[in-house]
Amino acid sequence: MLDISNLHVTVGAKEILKGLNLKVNEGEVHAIMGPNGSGKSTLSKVLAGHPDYAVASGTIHYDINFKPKNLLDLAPDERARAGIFLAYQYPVEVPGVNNAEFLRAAFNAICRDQGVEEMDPLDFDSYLREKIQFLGMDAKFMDRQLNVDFSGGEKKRNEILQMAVLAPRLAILDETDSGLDVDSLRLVSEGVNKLRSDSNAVVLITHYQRILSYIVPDFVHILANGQIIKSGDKSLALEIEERGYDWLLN
Amino acid sequence: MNQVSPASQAAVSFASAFAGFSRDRAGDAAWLREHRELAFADFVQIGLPTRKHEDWRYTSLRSLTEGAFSLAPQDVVSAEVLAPHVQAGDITLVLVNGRLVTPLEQLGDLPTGLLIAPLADALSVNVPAALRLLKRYATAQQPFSQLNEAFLGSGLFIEWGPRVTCERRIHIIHIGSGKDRLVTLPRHMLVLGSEAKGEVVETFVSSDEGTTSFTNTVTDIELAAGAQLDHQRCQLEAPQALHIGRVRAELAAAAKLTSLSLSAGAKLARIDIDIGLAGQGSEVILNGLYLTREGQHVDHHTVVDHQVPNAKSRQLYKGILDGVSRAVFNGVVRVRRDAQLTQAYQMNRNLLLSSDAEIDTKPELQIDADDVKCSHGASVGQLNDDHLFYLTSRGLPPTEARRMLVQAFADDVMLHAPRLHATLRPLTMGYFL
Repeated sequence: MLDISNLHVTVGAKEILKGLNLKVNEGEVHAIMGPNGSGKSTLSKVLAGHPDYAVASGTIHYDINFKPKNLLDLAPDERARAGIFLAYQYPVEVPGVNNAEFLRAAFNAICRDQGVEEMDPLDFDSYLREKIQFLGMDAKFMDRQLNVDFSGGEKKRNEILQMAVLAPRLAILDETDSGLDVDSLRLVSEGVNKLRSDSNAVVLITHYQRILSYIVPDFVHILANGQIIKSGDKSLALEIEERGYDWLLN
Repeated sequence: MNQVSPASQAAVSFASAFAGFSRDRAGDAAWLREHRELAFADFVQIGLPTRKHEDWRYTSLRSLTEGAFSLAPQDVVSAEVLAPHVQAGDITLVLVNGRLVTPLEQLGDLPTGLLIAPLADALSVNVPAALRLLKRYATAQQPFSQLNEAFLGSGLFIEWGPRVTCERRIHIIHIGSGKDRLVTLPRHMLVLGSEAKGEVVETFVSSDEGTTSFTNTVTDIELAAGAQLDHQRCQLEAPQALHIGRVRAELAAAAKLTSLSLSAGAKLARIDIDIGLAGQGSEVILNGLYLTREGQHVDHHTVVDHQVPNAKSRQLYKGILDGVSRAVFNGVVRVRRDAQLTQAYQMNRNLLLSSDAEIDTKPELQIDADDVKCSHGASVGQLNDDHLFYLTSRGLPPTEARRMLVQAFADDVMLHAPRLHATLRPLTMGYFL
């Protein structure tokens, strides 16, 4: 469903991704690991369409209605409505915007796009409560302002809740594990696992192996200096855990 | 034009309206006629302010000098004009061109001790509170208050007796009707006895979108010890209208006033809010929201006068500016020498949606006491790109994301007046983008 080929990306004057290749199929979980500054977050931002990240060359194809489309032709909101979801490493606090209202607006924007009837506030409320329960979260979350004064763990869980509500086809989790205590990590991971299916895929960006014992990947890729330098199965992550990255870099 | 003095401009624009009004009211009490004559003479002598006046530095009154005004005639309006603003459960009072058209006997059961009367009637029977308020502000040297005073007689007198609580919202709907250069000068007096409690909303709308009418309104408020009033002012006049309004309030000990000024209409709007904290433990909360679009100018001046110790004031004014438009916020906080333990807070935040919009914000703290807590701040900014990206990356189209962020900025103020917010949200939602 996602085919990234020879992708070069610059931020300002600096080239961050230098010929990255990645293929993701339905039903797969890919973990992308790598040292700091290797370009992991850049990859996630490019997929979401952040305006600060310029694609210098290469292609990203993403299947829409079973046909590969050039993802770079789509604006960020169009990508989201086409099923791409980025769980941010640092979710932004948006004062004054109500969490539940925002989620309903986003959900309905996707419904409109897909020609499905929008959900009214009451129906959406029950749908949302169901997801909140499913993720073992507190219903009080919903009446709060979007991420405002949320703890680090709450923000990450709110991202996973958004993911559960919007039911993306391709979920990109950018260091969702960072800053989470063990309990939060377990809850967030359970949330992600419950959402896995044959028709969607997960790209899990992480620095540490820790989250991969909760969300077991089908593939593990090592990203270093803007390229994927090694791919393998979950044992590769364990090897990184044991030996670090240095042996791969030198 | 330059040779014409502000005084003669003032006379030219309003003399004939005043002469007509005086003839119509020849039967009023001698003192009242004399009072008006003096006020008009004062107005002419002070003249229309120019931008050389510090108080009017950023606001030009040229539109007022572009021809004489006539006093707006008696008129009726269709139910459609009213419908969006009328809410079940309210005590609704409608004024068309400054004249009360709601039959007071149709208001139904009012709480015992609540008096609602035309101001003219209250003056004709010498209601003490009405006379007291006239006297209190008689020496005010503001030209537009004096102009309003010269046409004294339209508007309402509302008095809550001691400990009278009115749970129902009193909604005064002002409708300006007619196309031409018509002037309307209503005066309201809101008098709350000790421990009384009330809520009053004033809404200003025009029945004709093309009107160039001029509304010059004054609302005087008196809160006795422990009284509480929630006063909301909502200016939604037509795009070419001129609006100058003043709210003056004096608070006795432990009284509390919550004020909201929303200004979204008119080509030129100037709103002055003058608060005297005259009793210990009194508290005022001033909230404001102004929305300007192409060609609009809105100017808020607030003055909070801490005259005694232990009073509190808290101000939050926010503005959203689009197109070629301009807004002014000038907030004076005066803390007199005896007003120890004053707590005063003032904040003005502005959101510019266009690079052609301009805001002049000026806090003025005049503090003569030494043991006080006072703070103020102002900010001017644009929509946050990170916020926009976050919302759009969840599927919201950019226009919807922008609208949501603008609304969030406004809600911060409007949530202080939830019922008004509910009726106005569709309006503010549609106002931008």
